[in-house]
Amino acid sequence: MKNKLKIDKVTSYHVEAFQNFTKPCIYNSESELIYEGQIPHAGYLLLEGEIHFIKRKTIIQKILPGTLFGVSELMNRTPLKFTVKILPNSKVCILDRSTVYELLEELQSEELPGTFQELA
Amino acid sequence: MSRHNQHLECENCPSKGKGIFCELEGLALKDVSEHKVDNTYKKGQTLFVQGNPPFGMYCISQGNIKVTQVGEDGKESIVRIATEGDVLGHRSIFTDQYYNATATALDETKVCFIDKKYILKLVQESPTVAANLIAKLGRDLGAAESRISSFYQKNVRERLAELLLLLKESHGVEEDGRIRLNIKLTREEMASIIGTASETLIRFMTELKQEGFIEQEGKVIFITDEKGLIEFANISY
Repeated sequence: MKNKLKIDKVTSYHVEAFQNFTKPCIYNSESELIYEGQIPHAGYLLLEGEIHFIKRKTIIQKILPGTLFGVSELMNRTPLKFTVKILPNSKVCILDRSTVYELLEELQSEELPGTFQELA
Repeated sequence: MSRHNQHLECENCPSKGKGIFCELEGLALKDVSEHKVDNTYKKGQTLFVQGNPPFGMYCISQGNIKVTQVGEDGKESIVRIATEGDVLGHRSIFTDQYYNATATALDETKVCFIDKKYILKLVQESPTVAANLIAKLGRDLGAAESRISSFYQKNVRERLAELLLLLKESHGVEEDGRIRLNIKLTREEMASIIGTASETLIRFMTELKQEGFIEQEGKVIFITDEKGLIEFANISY
């Protein structure tokens, strides 16, 4: 299966900038962030831990810290073609719709990762 | 921005008139519609999990959700059933507490998600939304107090009769002189709600059927004698 999800590797500059808009939080329990066929409730920037993309009970991709995903799908209301599962004790910055609008308003496009530049 | 999924507008929501945003009109309601994310959950899929961070509120448009808590002994109990027009995760709007329960779809459920920052903006701009949210929190508190007092003051028989009456309020539909409960709960789920073992629940369900208070056709329960059930539940309903 082709993974059409837009994924950005972000720099420490982006991480610092995002943290001014959204407080990082820790997922204590394993859970599905997004089920296959659903539109994400937010974009997620993984800071620590691990996130898996799963299709038919098989891990098709492991996401590691420093990765941003889901922003474009959130803003364009695009359902995902696989399930996204977060592992316990993973730390993320949650970029919900309001936060994405704030980032687009407050920061210059060159200060944001590629996904945002397409939205601006 | 392009839309690849059929987006449910608040104006066309199946539970319109029951939710906390329903009194918003025109542009304000359209703005909520444009901001929210709507999804369908299959039976058994979780909206959120106990111990994880909340960042918004869920409005149930269609279907039923069970809210469960796992105690320190690892035992899971159902704390409530949320249905069309209900909201979940609203406590998180005003606190930084992590979820203290897990929400799981009991059947195919349509749910809209609205992020916390947007809700806070709405609360500031619209006194109606603020008042509806406060009223919802008040009702939740009342229901929690009733549940606690039931556990201390009522026996299992009475709690079962009370549960059936509560389900009648939320899911009851008049049908041929009886009230059909339009929700399918397993015996284990019903037992969990009233805090008893499945075997005990089955025994008392049989008793209620023999008394003529309820009937059952497959998994569907009908209330045939509401007045009798109210007396049985030992409540002034």
